[in-house]
Amino acid sequence: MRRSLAELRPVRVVGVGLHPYQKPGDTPYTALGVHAIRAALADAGLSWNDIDSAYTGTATTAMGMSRLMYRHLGSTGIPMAQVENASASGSTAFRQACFEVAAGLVDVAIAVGVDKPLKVAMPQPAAGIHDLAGNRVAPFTHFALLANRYIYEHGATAEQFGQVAVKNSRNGALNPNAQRQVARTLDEVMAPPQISGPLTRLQCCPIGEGAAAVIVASDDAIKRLELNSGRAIRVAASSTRSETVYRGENFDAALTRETTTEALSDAGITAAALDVVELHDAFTVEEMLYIEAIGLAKSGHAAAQLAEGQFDIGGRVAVSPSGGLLSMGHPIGPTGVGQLCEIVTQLRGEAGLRQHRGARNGLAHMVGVGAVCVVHILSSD
Amino acid sequence: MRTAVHPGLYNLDTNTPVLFGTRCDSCQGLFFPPLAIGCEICGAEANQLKPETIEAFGVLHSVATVHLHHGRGIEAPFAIGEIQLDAGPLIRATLGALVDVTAIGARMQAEWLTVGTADDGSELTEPRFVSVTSTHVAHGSESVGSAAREELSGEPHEELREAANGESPETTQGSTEGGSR
Repeated sequence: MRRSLAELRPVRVVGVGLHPYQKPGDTPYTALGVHAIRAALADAGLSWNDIDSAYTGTATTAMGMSRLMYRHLGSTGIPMAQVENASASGSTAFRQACFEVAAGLVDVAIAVGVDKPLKVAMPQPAAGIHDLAGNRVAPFTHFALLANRYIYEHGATAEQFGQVAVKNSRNGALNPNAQRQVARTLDEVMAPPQISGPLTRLQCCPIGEGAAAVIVASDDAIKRLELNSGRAIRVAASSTRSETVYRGENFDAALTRETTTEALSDAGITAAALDVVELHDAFTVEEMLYIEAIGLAKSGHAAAQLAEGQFDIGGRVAVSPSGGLLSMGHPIGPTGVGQLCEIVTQLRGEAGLRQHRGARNGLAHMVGVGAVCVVHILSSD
Repeated sequence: MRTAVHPGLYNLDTNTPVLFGTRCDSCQGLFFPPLAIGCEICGAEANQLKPETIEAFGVLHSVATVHLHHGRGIEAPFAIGEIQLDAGPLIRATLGALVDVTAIGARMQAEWLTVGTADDGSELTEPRFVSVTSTHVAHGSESVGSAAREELSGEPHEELREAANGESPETTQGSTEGGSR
């Protein structure tokens, strides 16, 4: 049995906040997280005492890290837990916060993504799994193989992948929270070092540190706490699925298609109704694959439509207006929460120079090692 | 005497490599690398999972020239291929030579390659996939075709090695090993 979020009581995002994503440094994760939380509280017009429950999306820092961070806001004794789901950790933390409010267990919950890249470990060694490629295949080679297969199937060029990084760097240059804030030319994107297959360094996302926070609330809480309902953004759908056996089909795209189809159905809209999309563009090829898997372009058509500017801010649908993982960065735990911060800001019409005008429906998509996929749809209504 | 680079995945006693896979008696699914605990397709328990050898023949599904990696015992650049085995599984393995996208669709087979010397003095040996129609046989790092040599020219190997060691201040996805998704 499965029920959708839409069948439960409404959940709305009332506050968002970020600590800028940055190169790994000496800032304690506690300081990164509290900065983002205070920003989200201020954005919502709430105090920490109003928060009933906290979920921390994290994958690379340390066990049991929540209270050491939240205590700096005052020890209120609320339930708190870490949520680990690889790159989708933050997205999954947000989902848990939404469910707790939607189920009526609490009125106000916070999802915080925070990480420093201290302990990045894959599960295969602990599972005793070995294959012929082993550590010779890093994540970027997994996607380089998909890129070359896409080139083979659709006649795409390496430069067309590079154009994804050009677009996202242009968006990231407008985002003060982005790790990479320099707009790049195609020549710069295609320049060495070559990493794997057609992927150059600037076609691979930077792993850094940072934090992002999103506060969700029930309509009861919005009324009781006298929050600005005009800035509250409804969570229309939350879907997550895990990989099955696809018998040779590209599992990243298949899993994205399945999960997005479910989320769009739950939200009662089609892909054509989406105005802003944040997706898992850790590598340029992924944006092309997921644009097609989400249904924003037919198979093999993403590159041409990208070249036409259809996925630009101001285009048909703005894809990765934050700069995406490629430019905003991918600090792992915060990434999925940061996507939701961008979607909410866009749907409120508060994105400034990055604003995609008239944005009403937004989709946030993450995939995580395993593989899992998490998709949220938010709507301004 | 030879020692397998990947113990448990193949038998060095055969003239051409044969892979060790697992067949599920319940759903007939065939897996490589082998499964031991339960079937990924139908959930059948271990007593339904039977060892089955898999001929190392297939079609090149995709390929990537790797410049940055975390593996041991191999110098970049080298080629990783996805091979759709005739028996069913889609596997990843190192290729015997650098090839480009135009090689996708080619018939492939595995052959043995000695890649080093083990602590006991035996030859470290692994299977590398090569094009069935290729006239050139892999012999370690020298097995680079003319197109590949062109591709190698001007590569900033030192910079890549630094990045692989995590010394690059702006760590890219790969140099933290994982977290791609």
